Amino acid sequence: MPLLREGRAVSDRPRTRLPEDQPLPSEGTRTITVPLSRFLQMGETERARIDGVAIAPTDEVQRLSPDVLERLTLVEIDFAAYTDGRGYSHARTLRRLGYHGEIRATGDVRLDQLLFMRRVGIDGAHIEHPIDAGLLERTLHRFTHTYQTGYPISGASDTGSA
Amino acid sequence: MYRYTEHDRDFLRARVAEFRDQTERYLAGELGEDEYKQLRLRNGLYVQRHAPMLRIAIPYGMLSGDQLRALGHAARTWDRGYGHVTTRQNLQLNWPKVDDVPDILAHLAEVDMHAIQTSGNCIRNTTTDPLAGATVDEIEDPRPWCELIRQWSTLHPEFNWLPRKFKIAVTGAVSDRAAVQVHDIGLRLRHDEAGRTGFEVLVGGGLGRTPHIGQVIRDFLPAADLLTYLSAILRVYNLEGRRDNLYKARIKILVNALGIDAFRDQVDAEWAASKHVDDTFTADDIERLRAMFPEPPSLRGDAARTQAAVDAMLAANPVFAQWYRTNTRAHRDTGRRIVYLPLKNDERPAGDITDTMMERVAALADRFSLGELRTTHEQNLVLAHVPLDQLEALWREARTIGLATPNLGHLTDMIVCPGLDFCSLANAGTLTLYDQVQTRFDDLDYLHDIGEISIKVSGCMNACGHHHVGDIGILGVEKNGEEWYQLTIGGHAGDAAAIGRRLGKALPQDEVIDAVHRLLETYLTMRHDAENFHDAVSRLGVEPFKERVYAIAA
Repeated sequence: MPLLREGRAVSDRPRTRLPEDQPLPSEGTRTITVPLSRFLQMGETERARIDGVAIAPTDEVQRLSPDVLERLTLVEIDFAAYTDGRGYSHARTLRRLGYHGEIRATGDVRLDQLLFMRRVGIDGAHIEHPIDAGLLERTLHRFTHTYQTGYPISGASDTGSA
Repeated sequence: MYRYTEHDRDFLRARVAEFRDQTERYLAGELGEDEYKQLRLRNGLYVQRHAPMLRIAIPYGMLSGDQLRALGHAARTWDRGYGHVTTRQNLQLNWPKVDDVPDILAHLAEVDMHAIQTSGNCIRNTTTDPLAGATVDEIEDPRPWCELIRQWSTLHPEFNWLPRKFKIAVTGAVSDRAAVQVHDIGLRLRHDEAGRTGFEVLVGGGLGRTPHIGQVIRDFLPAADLLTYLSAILRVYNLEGRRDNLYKARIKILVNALGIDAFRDQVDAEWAASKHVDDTFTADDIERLRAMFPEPPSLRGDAARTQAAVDAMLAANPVFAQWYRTNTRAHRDTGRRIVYLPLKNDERPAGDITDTMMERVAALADRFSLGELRTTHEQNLVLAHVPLDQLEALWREARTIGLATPNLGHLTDMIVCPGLDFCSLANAGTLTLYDQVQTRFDDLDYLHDIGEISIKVSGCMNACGHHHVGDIGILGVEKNGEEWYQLTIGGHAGDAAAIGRRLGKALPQDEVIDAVHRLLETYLTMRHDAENFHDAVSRLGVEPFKERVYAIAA
């Protein structure tokens, strides 16, 4: 399962996604993601031990305050189906709220949607299937002009300060 | 007309290359059926009952003569020599091969045309008044705003996977010819007391299974806020619209579930947070677009182009006079006239046009109307700027092409979806009914005695034929494998839009044409003086019509 960051394949640090009911490990790395609903119930001490939050399609990302977002390094946006466009608005909103860390698409992520994802601020992606490097390159760099100036084609810059 | 820039052309070439790539991957088995389906839908390609169907975008219904010629070439080269004008002002080819579609799109791109977002759950082609820039009752030309919306909505990265399709219509005139009340978003151009441009914004209108008239979400939105406000509505819909049930996924369901006031509050909250971040445009941007839609050169006061000269022609030729009165409309330049070319007669299905007709109409547009023409949501064509002294020459040419039947807005000028003959969703063969109406009511005197009336036919609940807003609406339904038809009367698509009321139980196919005939006879018997069908139904209600139709049918 390749991981892409800013359009390039990278190797991932092992991460843990903790579901609602599983306790935090007693020690170890901070590379842990919890669902937003769980994160919102955590106290400061617990929050300090994780660095990622997972967003489900029905979540309200505005519940993450700017100072909380500042301390996160990863937000994973779960796509239940690639045809479910809610994740795009979640990403857009997160960038507007001033989040500067990585936004990673997880779940049903398709190659032909990666450019759209980058343009709303999703700069990382887990893809289920191996990807042809040439095809990836073509897909991400085919367009030199698009119509929405607030959604830059590079996808790298955020919109929070625009 | 809008003139493409090099940016537009680069964009379109990239889009064609992308789709060629995707089609090759699909044909090579590298891209699954379902995923390719979503990609091809966003490039206008459906797979229909008999063959694929390619729906080509005609942004807000505006075409140049060269573009229509290119469509004619495409219809001849890759299809069976004809196309079909749709109720979204687009043009469909009914028989292309999947493998050919990238070539067709490459050909169209050379004349700045495409099929982007003509299907799929995304923002569709924006529609407008086909008389824009010509009609006397215009507050402001809507087309620069339509072009702005076209650009904003084209491959918008955030709104490409909405719960359901999304349709926007804009009118700049007092009289609504764009049916803005039955669109997901309807925009009415307005000027405030200070003369500033803005929009009345309607939301949640639509036909389909559960028809709704749009509700006012903003009385006056300053024009500079147009795109950020549209984005706020779309974002609320993208996040909150239902995705669990295809039939409850349109924005009208969300608006009605929340109530317009609660929906407005959500949009306002979203807008307050995002209006400084989302796409905006400058005064220069819109001025540049406005400059591309100039007034045609004035022919006012030209001696050869006076109403007196036209009146003399009308007096001398009653056939021409009937066409003039029925198929033309006043232009705001008194030296010009707006001419409709109805695509409705007994030669071919409603809205169909052959390759050679396209080329000949293109020549008419070049010769008589400054090289441009429009498609209408009633599936007709318009030459908007015809000089008065050339009307008779145009009429003679149009007659030889079969596009001068004086039936605009009359009984045989029906709106008809392609129906069972082409569409895999349809329950009923709408085209048979269309043929029956054309044959039964071919007497022009009868047609003109009946006066203005609209018959709108949809082959299924998706309501592509807009049956809900027809004076007489006809909906195809399926009962035990047979085609039946549900009639409604009293619908209206104009200024005070209204959803038609059911006449009674559905009728078998062989009784529909007689039922239509009896509705007309009832109207003729009961009308007051100059009262049209719509007003007669408003005054009389459904009952007298129902009694006549079902008393005899029973």
